[in-house]
Amino acid sequence: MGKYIRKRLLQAIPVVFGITILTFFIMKLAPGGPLTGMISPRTSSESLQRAREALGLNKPIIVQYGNWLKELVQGNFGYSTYNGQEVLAQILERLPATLLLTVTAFVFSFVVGIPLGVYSATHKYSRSDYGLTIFSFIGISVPSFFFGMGLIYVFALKLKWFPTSGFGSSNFRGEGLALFLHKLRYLVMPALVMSLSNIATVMRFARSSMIETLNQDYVRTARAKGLSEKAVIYKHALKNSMIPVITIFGQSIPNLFGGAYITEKVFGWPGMGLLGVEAIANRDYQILMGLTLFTAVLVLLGNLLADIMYSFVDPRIRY
Amino acid sequence: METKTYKKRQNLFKTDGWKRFKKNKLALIGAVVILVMVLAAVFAPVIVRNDPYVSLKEGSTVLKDLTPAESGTILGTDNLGRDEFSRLIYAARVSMSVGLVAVGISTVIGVLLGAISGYFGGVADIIIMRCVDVVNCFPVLFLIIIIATILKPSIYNVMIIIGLCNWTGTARLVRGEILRVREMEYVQAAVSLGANDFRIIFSHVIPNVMAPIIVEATMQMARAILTEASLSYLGCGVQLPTASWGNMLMEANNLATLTKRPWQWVPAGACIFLAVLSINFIGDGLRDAFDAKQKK
Repeated sequence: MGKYIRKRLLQAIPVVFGITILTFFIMKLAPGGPLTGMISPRTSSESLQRAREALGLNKPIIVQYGNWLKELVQGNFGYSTYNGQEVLAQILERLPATLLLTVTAFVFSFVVGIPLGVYSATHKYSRSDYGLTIFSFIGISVPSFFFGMGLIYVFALKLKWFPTSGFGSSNFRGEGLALFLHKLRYLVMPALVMSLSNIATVMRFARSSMIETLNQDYVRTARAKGLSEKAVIYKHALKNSMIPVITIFGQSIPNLFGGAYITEKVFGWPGMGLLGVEAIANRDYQILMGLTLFTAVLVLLGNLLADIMYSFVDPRIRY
Repeated sequence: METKTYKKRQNLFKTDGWKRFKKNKLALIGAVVILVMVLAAVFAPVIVRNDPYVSLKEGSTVLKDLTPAESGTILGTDNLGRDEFSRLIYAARVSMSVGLVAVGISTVIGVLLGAISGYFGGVADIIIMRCVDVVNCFPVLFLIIIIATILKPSIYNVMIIIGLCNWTGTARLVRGEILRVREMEYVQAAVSLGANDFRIIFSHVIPNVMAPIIVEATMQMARAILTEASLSYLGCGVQLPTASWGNMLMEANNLATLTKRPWQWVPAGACIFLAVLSINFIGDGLRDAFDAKQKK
């Protein structure tokens, strides 16, 4: 076990370097580089040259990468090309809102997806299995912004059950439970939109995993012993069939973060995605770069965690 | 070469796989929907009555934000008085071509890298698989957005970027299949006959892993269309005035339009949904029919 975890951690090191190298070279594509925000038509070529030297832009590219990496490790993600503020500070300011949304969607997709998948598998080829399969196709096919706009139209504008956008009203003066419920109303629709395709993925995966498990010899043994179908499914098959579902944990993290751009734009949710959408409009490459790098590292950590969890749950994993 | 492809095509409709595909109702419905959309895209100039880029006018007043009934068009007009139906049909061209080209690019890259990695193994394998890990760490949409913002957003850039960012699935798949096929007798036979690596990979190995590659490509086409729509919705994909289903929704994304003018956003959203759903159904049908290994 310790050996596996060590090996997995060592494998992650080149990936971290790969992430930074890819990010660095994409940033090099940006017109004007890190100076874009500071150049005006009146900037003289000498002062531009001086600024380039001050930032080390005249040095060989490897040296530039090294310097950039050194700054990065010290927590300096650069400065916004639009308003000159620190990139990392802006991201961290928006992180909690996005985390709240993604974690809710994450939990939601497994809490809903797994039971549906298990039900589908135990009622294989029935009418409800067929219906759930079609539902899962719809789930992965519907564009999240269209789904979100539909929800806003029906539940916010027509029925007025939920607010259309944002995260809490500034005039609200409640505390404790009242505040929590107030915020919760804002969370429901975005979390639903974010989790829909993930619910579908988890469901399909849980279904096929459960079907595979039900074909195993030990399930046949349990049945031969005369156990009730309930005991066979919930005592013997369920736990084992859930092991592969852990791999979906890791895979769903990039999907959820990727969905943040869209969901947060549709619902005006004040998180990292909305920061990114603003940055797109302002052509603020530094912010976009910071966001991309930051999420890539989060995803890497998430995958590591999922793999390590997997090795705990499934002792057959050996390297 | 000519006769060979002809033979293959004739055989396709007699295979068991094709018979299985025909039995799958959802896949057939999907195929019909996509066929209609592709035909609409190809014959767009013949189908639509009004130019999608010109505002309709009556005298000097622009006929903007009119319902279908008021304007006498099929789906009404948009905020600049352009015919919504015309725009919808022309947008099908964008979505279909972006999907096809992007998947073409990602499949070629994926097959090449996967084949190299699986066939040669060793250092090449390690390097390519680490690259896959790196690309997989980035939420694809983030990567695409940053590149699309840096490069000038245009339909061609969107195609290339989506293609360049989506090859990892195919590469992994091809690598796995090649590892499996490499040890089979017919490949060993080709090796003992002295065939070179290139020949073995492309005329013996790849044809035998075609089914899963095509299934993966179909599923990717669905994702590519969805990605293009998302990019255009966020404003860094296909740029106005060129119509795409995604940017039609972007234009309609305000509360007034949402409530009062559903004809400006529902049809475009429904088109994306229908196209992606149909392609997913086709992909699933193909998997069941031709990719026996993955059958449940």
